[in-house]
Amino acid sequence: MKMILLTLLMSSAWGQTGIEIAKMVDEKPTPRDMVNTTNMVLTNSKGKTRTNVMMSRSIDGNKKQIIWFLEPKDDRGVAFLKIEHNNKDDEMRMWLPAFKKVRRISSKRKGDAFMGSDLSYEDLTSRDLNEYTYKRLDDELVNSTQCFVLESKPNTSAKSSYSKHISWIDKENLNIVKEYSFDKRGALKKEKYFQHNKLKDYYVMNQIRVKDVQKQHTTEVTFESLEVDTGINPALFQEKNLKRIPKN
Amino acid sequence: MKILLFISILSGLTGQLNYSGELNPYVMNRTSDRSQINLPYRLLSLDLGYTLGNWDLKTNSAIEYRNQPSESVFDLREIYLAYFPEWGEVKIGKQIHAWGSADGNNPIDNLNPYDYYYLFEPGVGKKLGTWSFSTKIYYRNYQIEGVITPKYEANRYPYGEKDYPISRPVKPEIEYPVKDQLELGFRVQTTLGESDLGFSVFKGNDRAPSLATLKYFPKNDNQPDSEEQIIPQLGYRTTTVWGLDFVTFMGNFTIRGEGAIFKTQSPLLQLNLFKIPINLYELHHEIVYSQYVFQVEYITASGFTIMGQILGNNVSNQQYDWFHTLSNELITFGPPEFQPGMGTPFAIFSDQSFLLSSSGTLMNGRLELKGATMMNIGKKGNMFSASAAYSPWENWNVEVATTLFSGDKDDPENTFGKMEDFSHTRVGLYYNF
Repeated sequence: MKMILLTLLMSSAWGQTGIEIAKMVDEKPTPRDMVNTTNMVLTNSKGKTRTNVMMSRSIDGNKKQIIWFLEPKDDRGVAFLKIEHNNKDDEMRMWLPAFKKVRRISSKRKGDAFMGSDLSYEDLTSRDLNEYTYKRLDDELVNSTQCFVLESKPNTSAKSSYSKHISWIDKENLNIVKEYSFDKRGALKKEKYFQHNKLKDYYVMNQIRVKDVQKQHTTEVTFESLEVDTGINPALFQEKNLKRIPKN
Repeated sequence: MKILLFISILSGLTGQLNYSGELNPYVMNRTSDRSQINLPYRLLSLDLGYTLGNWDLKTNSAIEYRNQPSESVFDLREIYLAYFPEWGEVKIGKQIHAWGSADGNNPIDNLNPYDYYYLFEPGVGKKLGTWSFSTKIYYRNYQIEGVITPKYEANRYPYGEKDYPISRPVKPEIEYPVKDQLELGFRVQTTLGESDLGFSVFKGNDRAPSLATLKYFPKNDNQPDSEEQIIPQLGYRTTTVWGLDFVTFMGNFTIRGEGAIFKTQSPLLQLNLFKIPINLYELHHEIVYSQYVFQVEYITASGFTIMGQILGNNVSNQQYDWFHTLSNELITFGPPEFQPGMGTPFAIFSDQSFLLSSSGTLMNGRLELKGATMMNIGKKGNMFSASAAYSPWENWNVEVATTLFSGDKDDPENTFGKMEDFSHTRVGLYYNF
């Protein structure tokens, strides 16, 4: 019986189109909210590093996120609020303690680097399923893991800074394990590697390694003290809370 | 015993102590003859706070240090209690407020006086904290803010500082200190589509003194040596400011702007009828002027921010009457000189100017470069500044900077020209903790 079920599953997986795989990934259960301390290590082509430490809270699959910067010390207190909207541009605001101002920043330039890292604001934003066209490529094995290989091309409505992404998706748990992103000219721009942890009923990303192959610069982001479904109040995601670093 | 009890209460609380600060020794030397510019600066800044539930106690203090002679002063710049309920925020204490959308120059931001020793500091470093009560309500797309300042504070000016060209030789005597010290501010901000729009009103007293009365001593015909003498006496005008500010996005450009209309007038002087000198003449001055800032910014592919800003001020209506205080008889004295007593401090440099600046980082964020130039439109005069800050180790920075002024040799009143001798290089060290 188990064998029949497995065969059925295998055959249905084999027959899945790109959009169907994207939908499966999109519909994967995600935590209602997430809390973590983020360590971001930037390494340049000469091997010199710089470390940023941040505290993050998010809900709705990262559609609302607030980040407080803890290190380096001269950035301590700076905070970032992102609210994604379906029918209009996202809202992004930064609290700059030295200016005592919440500064609204443009979300149109999605390709701009986030705090000097190899991650752009676009990389931190969830992709709207309807704003991409998908094509399934031949399956591949990545570190002994059977993966779907999915090509995603942004439509003009996505206002993306990329021309396409190729993602390697673990067939077993639908986690993205690797992704290549290409610039507007079609040249490889970034290589991204992901690691996940199982926490409660979810697979949660606990590490991203991004290499900008054009700049020979890498960023490694590690999510520590990860907690999910903590019951974050949605009212947290407003400007006034940028001004207060929450208790560790 | 009491101390032990206090400590045990504090340790029993589940609050959090926060601190951060900066140590920043530096030296400034004139570009003309390499001599040292000897002005006080903030050697050490410390932000110390305690958070307990929805309550914060925040302080911001500094050690102000002067190299020659070596002297230091402790300055408690802010100390306030903040409460953050679900609907907004409430703050009470000595605090610095910040209004406006533009960077660096904010005509609508008049809640705090300025410290002219720190005129070229970024952010709130150039402001003085005042005792005030403020509340901000967040309701749907709206932010509604009210500020009440019961105790008036004027700008801090450098007096008798030979190294600061726009310094006055002696602190002028203020004959008419502010009587009605209460100041009120109100601001509402909303999000319309992809833009933020703010409207504000502020009613208070000028931060800079201006002419209020004068004592007139005519020439005594019986004494051949005597001369006509006029002694000006200073006070502070009352001013109401209506402001509008916005931020919006057009393609890859961010546009920020703000404008303010100031209605300022001589205050009603409360004089003792029996002590009014017979030779006292009073000025009733009423001026309507405006200031505006329009800013466009763009971030390049390499992450450098380029910002262009046009700022200007314009007097649209000015009326004045001189009258003899005792008799109320109108007198035909000449028009008084007008200087704005509020608004962006850079209005003292020019009626209209263009500011272009750029900043960005290289070497994995270790090297921060900044450059800016301010050009006087329609008249001669400009300011240029550039800085490079390198971080050899985490939390340490070495900064080399220069600021150059160039004025109009034919115009001794040109403020850029007055500042020429202030052109300098600065070498400093930063340690953040």
